[in-house]
Amino acid sequence: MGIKMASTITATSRSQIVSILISLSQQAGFYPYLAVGIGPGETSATDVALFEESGARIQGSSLAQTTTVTSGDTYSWQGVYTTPSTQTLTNLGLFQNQGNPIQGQLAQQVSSSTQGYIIPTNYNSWPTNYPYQIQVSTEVMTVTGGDNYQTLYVSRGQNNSTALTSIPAQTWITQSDTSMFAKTNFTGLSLNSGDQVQFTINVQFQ
Amino acid sequence: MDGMNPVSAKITVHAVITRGDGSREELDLLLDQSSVIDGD
Repeated sequence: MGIKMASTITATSRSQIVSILISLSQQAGFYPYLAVGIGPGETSATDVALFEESGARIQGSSLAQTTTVTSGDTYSWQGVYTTPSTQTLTNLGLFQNQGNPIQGQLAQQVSSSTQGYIIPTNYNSWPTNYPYQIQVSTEVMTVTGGDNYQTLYVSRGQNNSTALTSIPAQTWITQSDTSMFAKTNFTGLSLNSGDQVQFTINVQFQ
Repeated sequence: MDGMNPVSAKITVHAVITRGDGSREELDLLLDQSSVIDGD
Protein backbone atom coordinates (compact mmCIF):
# COMPACT_ATOMS: atom_id res chain seq x y z
CA MET A 1 0.00 0.00 0.00
CA GLY A 2 2.34 2.69 -1.21
CA ILE A 3 1.61 6.35 -1.53
CA LYS A 4 0.66 7.15 -5.09
CA MET A 5 3.35 9.36 -6.55
CA ALA A 6 3.92 11.26 -9.73
CA SER A 7 6.99 12.96 -11.09
CA THR A 8 8.11 14.71 -14.19
CA ILE A 9 10.77 16.79 -15.75
CA THR A 10 9.66 20.33 -16.44
CA ALA A 11 9.04 22.28 -19.60
CA THR A 12 12.32 24.05 -18.90
CA SER A 13 14.33 20.83 -18.92
CA ARG A 14 12.58 19.53 -22.02
CA SER A 15 13.65 22.69 -23.81
CA GLN A 16 17.17 22.35 -22.40
CA ILE A 17 17.46 18.76 -23.64
CA VAL A 18 16.60 19.87 -27.17
CA SER A 19 18.96 22.82 -26.95
CA ILE A 20 21.83 20.64 -25.76
CA LEU A 21 21.28 18.03 -28.47
CA ILE A 22 21.47 20.72 -31.13
CA SER A 23 24.50 22.37 -29.51
CA LEU A 24 26.34 19.06 -29.49
CA SER A 25 25.82 18.68 -33.23
CA GLN A 26 26.96 22.24 -33.85
CA GLN A 27 30.09 21.67 -31.79
CA ALA A 28 30.77 18.38 -33.56
CA GLY A 29 30.44 20.15 -36.88
CA PHE A 30 27.93 17.82 -38.49
CA TYR A 31 24.25 17.01 -38.26
CA PRO A 32 23.06 13.52 -37.36
CA TYR A 33 22.71 10.90 -40.06
CA LEU A 34 19.48 9.33 -41.22
CA ALA A 35 19.36 5.58 -41.83
CA VAL A 36 16.37 3.76 -43.25
CA GLY A 37 15.23 0.19 -42.71
CA ILE A 38 13.07 -2.21 -44.70
CA GLY A 39 12.44 -5.03 -42.23
CA PRO A 40 9.33 -5.68 -40.14
CA GLY A 41 9.04 -4.98 -36.44
CA GLU A 42 7.64 -2.74 -33.78
CA THR A 43 10.09 -0.26 -32.34
CA SER A 44 10.94 -0.60 -28.67
CA ALA A 45 13.07 1.42 -26.27
CA THR A 46 15.27 -1.69 -26.00
CA ASP A 47 16.32 -1.55 -29.68
CA VAL A 48 19.98 -1.10 -30.60
CA ALA A 49 19.63 -1.00 -34.38
CA LEU A 50 17.13 -0.64 -37.20
CA PHE A 51 15.19 -3.55 -38.63
CA GLU A 52 17.21 -4.47 -41.75
CA GLU A 53 19.03 -1.23 -42.42
CA SER A 54 19.17 -0.42 -46.13
CA GLY A 55 21.68 1.63 -48.09
CA ALA A 56 24.01 4.43 -47.10
CA ARG A 57 23.22 6.90 -44.33
CA ILE A 58 22.70 10.53 -45.26
CA GLN A 59 23.57 13.58 -43.22
CA GLY A 60 20.91 16.04 -42.15
CA SER A 61 20.79 19.43 -43.83
CA SER A 62 19.33 21.39 -40.92
CA LEU A 63 18.43 21.15 -37.26
CA ALA A 64 16.00 23.37 -35.39
CA GLN A 65 14.39 23.78 -32.01
CA THR A 66 10.64 24.14 -32.42
CA THR A 67 7.53 24.11 -30.26
CA THR A 68 4.85 21.43 -30.34
CA VAL A 69 3.24 21.83 -26.91
CA THR A 70 5.56 23.66 -24.55
CA SER A 71 8.19 26.16 -25.61
CA GLY A 72 11.14 24.57 -27.40
CA ASP A 73 10.11 20.97 -26.63
CA THR A 74 10.84 19.64 -30.12
CA TYR A 75 14.01 18.64 -31.94
CA SER A 76 13.46 18.96 -35.66
CA TRP A 77 15.78 17.27 -38.17
CA GLN A 78 15.59 17.82 -41.92
CA GLY A 79 17.35 16.05 -44.73
CA VAL A 80 16.92 14.79 -48.25
CA TYR A 81 17.05 11.08 -48.97
CA THR A 82 17.31 9.70 -52.50
CA THR A 83 16.45 6.03 -52.68
CA PRO A 84 19.04 4.02 -54.64
CA SER A 85 16.60 1.19 -55.36
CA THR A 86 12.92 0.38 -55.40
CA GLN A 87 12.03 -0.46 -51.83
CA THR A 88 9.43 0.01 -49.11
CA LEU A 89 10.71 1.78 -46.02
CA THR A 90 9.32 0.52 -42.72
CA ASN A 91 11.54 2.19 -40.14
CA LEU A 92 14.18 4.86 -39.76
CA GLY A 93 16.59 6.19 -37.19
CA LEU A 94 18.90 9.11 -36.44
CA PHE A 95 22.53 8.29 -35.73
CA GLN A 96 25.67 10.17 -34.74
CA ASN A 97 27.85 7.82 -36.81
CA GLN A 98 27.81 7.44 -40.58
CA GLY A 99 29.11 3.89 -40.94
CA ASN A 100 26.71 1.11 -41.79
CA PRO A 101 26.38 -1.76 -39.33
CA ILE A 102 27.37 -5.31 -40.16
CA GLN A 103 24.32 -7.32 -41.16
CA GLY A 104 23.44 -10.88 -42.06
CA GLN A 105 20.53 -13.25 -41.90
CA LEU A 106 19.73 -16.31 -39.85
CA ALA A 107 20.70 -19.42 -41.82
CA GLN A 108 18.62 -21.47 -39.40
CA GLN A 109 15.63 -20.56 -37.30
CA VAL A 110 15.98 -19.89 -33.60
CA SER A 111 13.63 -22.40 -32.01
CA SER A 112 13.49 -21.48 -28.33
CA SER A 113 13.91 -18.48 -26.05
CA THR A 114 16.89 -20.17 -24.39
CA GLN A 115 18.82 -21.28 -27.47
CA GLY A 116 22.34 -20.03 -26.84
CA TYR A 117 23.62 -19.81 -30.40
CA ILE A 118 22.70 -18.55 -33.84
CA ILE A 119 23.97 -19.50 -37.26
CA PRO A 120 24.29 -16.49 -39.55
CA THR A 121 24.57 -16.67 -43.32
CA ASN A 122 27.84 -14.75 -43.23
CA TYR A 123 29.83 -15.93 -40.21
CA ASN A 124 33.10 -14.46 -41.45
CA SER A 125 31.63 -10.96 -41.67
CA TRP A 126 31.11 -10.74 -37.91
CA PRO A 127 33.70 -9.28 -35.54
CA THR A 128 35.73 -11.59 -33.35
CA ASN A 129 36.26 -8.98 -30.63
CA TYR A 130 33.53 -10.15 -28.26
CA PRO A 131 31.19 -9.23 -26.73
CA TYR A 132 28.95 -7.03 -28.85
CA GLN A 133 25.22 -6.68 -29.27
CA ILE A 134 22.98 -7.48 -32.22
CA GLN A 135 19.35 -6.79 -33.08
CA VAL A 136 17.45 -9.87 -34.30
CA SER A 137 13.83 -8.94 -34.97
CA THR A 138 12.67 -7.26 -31.77
CA GLU A 139 15.20 -9.05 -29.57
CA VAL A 140 18.64 -7.83 -28.57
CA MET A 141 21.32 -10.48 -28.11
CA THR A 142 24.90 -10.25 -26.91
CA VAL A 143 27.39 -12.20 -29.00
CA THR A 144 29.86 -13.73 -26.58
CA GLY A 145 31.96 -15.86 -28.92
CA GLY A 146 32.13 -17.93 -32.06
CA ASP A 147 33.24 -21.41 -33.15
CA ASN A 148 35.52 -20.08 -35.91
CA TYR A 149 33.32 -21.83 -38.44
CA GLN A 150 29.62 -20.92 -38.53
CA THR A 151 28.15 -20.48 -35.07
CA LEU A 152 27.88 -17.37 -32.91
CA TYR A 153 27.24 -17.92 -29.22
CA VAL A 154 24.71 -15.51 -27.76
CA SER A 155 23.10 -14.34 -24.53
CA ARG A 156 19.41 -13.84 -25.08
CA GLY A 157 16.96 -11.09 -24.18
CA GLN A 158 19.57 -8.39 -23.62
CA ASN A 159 19.11 -4.65 -22.98
CA ASN A 160 15.79 -5.44 -21.30
CA SER A 161 14.34 -6.94 -24.51
CA THR A 162 12.25 -10.11 -24.53
CA ALA A 163 13.81 -13.38 -25.68
CA LEU A 164 11.65 -14.64 -28.54
CA THR A 165 10.47 -18.26 -28.54
CA SER A 166 10.84 -18.57 -32.28
CA ILE A 167 12.70 -16.50 -34.89
CA PRO A 168 12.38 -17.62 -38.51
CA ALA A 169 15.29 -18.40 -40.79
CA GLN A 170 16.21 -15.46 -43.05
CA THR A 171 15.44 -12.94 -40.28
CA TRP A 172 17.96 -10.13 -40.44
CA ILE A 173 20.71 -9.69 -37.89
CA THR A 174 22.00 -6.15 -37.42
CA GLN A 175 24.98 -5.10 -35.34
CA SER A 176 24.30 -2.66 -32.53
CA ASP A 177 25.07 0.99 -33.18
CA THR A 178 25.05 2.84 -29.89
CA SER A 179 25.09 6.13 -31.78
CA MET A 180 21.40 5.59 -32.62
CA PHE A 181 19.40 8.04 -30.56
CA ALA A 182 15.94 7.89 -32.09
CA LYS A 183 14.05 5.27 -34.06
CA THR A 184 10.55 4.92 -35.39
CA ASN A 185 8.60 2.44 -37.46
CA PHE A 186 5.64 3.26 -39.66
CA THR A 187 3.31 1.91 -42.26
CA GLY A 188 5.40 1.16 -45.33
CA LEU A 189 6.55 3.99 -47.58
CA SER A 190 6.91 2.62 -51.12
CA LEU A 191 9.63 4.28 -53.17
CA ASN A 192 10.89 3.76 -56.68
CA SER A 193 14.55 3.99 -57.51
CA GLY A 194 15.56 7.64 -57.74
CA ASP A 195 12.63 9.01 -55.75
CA GLN A 196 13.71 11.89 -53.53
CA VAL A 197 12.25 12.38 -50.08
CA GLN A 198 12.54 15.54 -48.02
CA PHE A 199 12.15 14.23 -44.47
CA THR A 200 11.23 16.32 -41.47
CA ILE A 201 11.66 14.26 -38.32
CA ASN A 202 10.29 15.86 -35.18
CA VAL A 203 11.22 14.49 -31.79
CA GLN A 204 8.98 16.04 -29.19
CA PHE A 205 10.04 15.53 -25.59
CA GLN A 206 7.16 14.92 -23.21
CA MET B 1 7.63 1.74 -10.08
CA ASP B 2 5.79 4.51 -8.31
CA GLY B 3 7.30 7.92 -8.75
CA MET B 4 9.42 6.98 -11.74
CA ASN B 5 8.33 8.39 -15.06
CA PRO B 6 10.86 7.96 -17.82
CA VAL B 7 11.39 10.78 -20.24
CA SER B 8 9.39 9.97 -23.31
CA ALA B 9 9.28 11.44 -26.74
CA LYS B 10 6.86 11.46 -29.60
CA ILE B 11 8.43 11.16 -33.02
CA THR B 12 6.59 12.25 -36.12
CA VAL B 13 7.86 12.00 -39.67
CA HIS B 14 6.76 14.24 -42.50
CA ALA B 15 7.80 13.30 -46.02
CA VAL B 16 7.69 15.31 -49.22
CA ILE B 17 8.35 12.88 -52.05
CA THR B 18 9.47 13.91 -55.50
CA ARG B 19 8.92 11.00 -57.86
CA GLY B 20 10.99 10.21 -60.93
CA ASP B 21 8.31 11.70 -63.18
CA GLY B 22 8.49 14.99 -61.28
CA SER B 23 5.23 14.52 -59.39
CA ARG B 24 5.16 15.42 -55.69
CA GLU B 25 3.43 13.81 -52.76
CA GLU B 26 3.35 15.04 -49.21
CA LEU B 27 2.43 12.83 -46.29
CA ASP B 28 2.81 12.13 -42.60
CA LEU B 29 4.02 8.61 -42.06
CA LEU B 30 1.57 6.65 -39.97
CA LEU B 31 3.15 5.06 -36.99
CA ASP B 32 2.32 1.44 -36.37
CA GLN B 33 3.10 1.82 -32.70
CA SER B 34 5.48 3.73 -30.57
CA SER B 35 8.51 5.74 -31.43
CA VAL B 36 11.34 5.80 -29.00
CA ILE B 37 14.39 7.61 -27.91
CA ASP B 38 17.13 5.14 -27.16
CA GLY B 39 17.09 4.58 -23.44
CA ASP B 40 20.84 4.10 -23.12
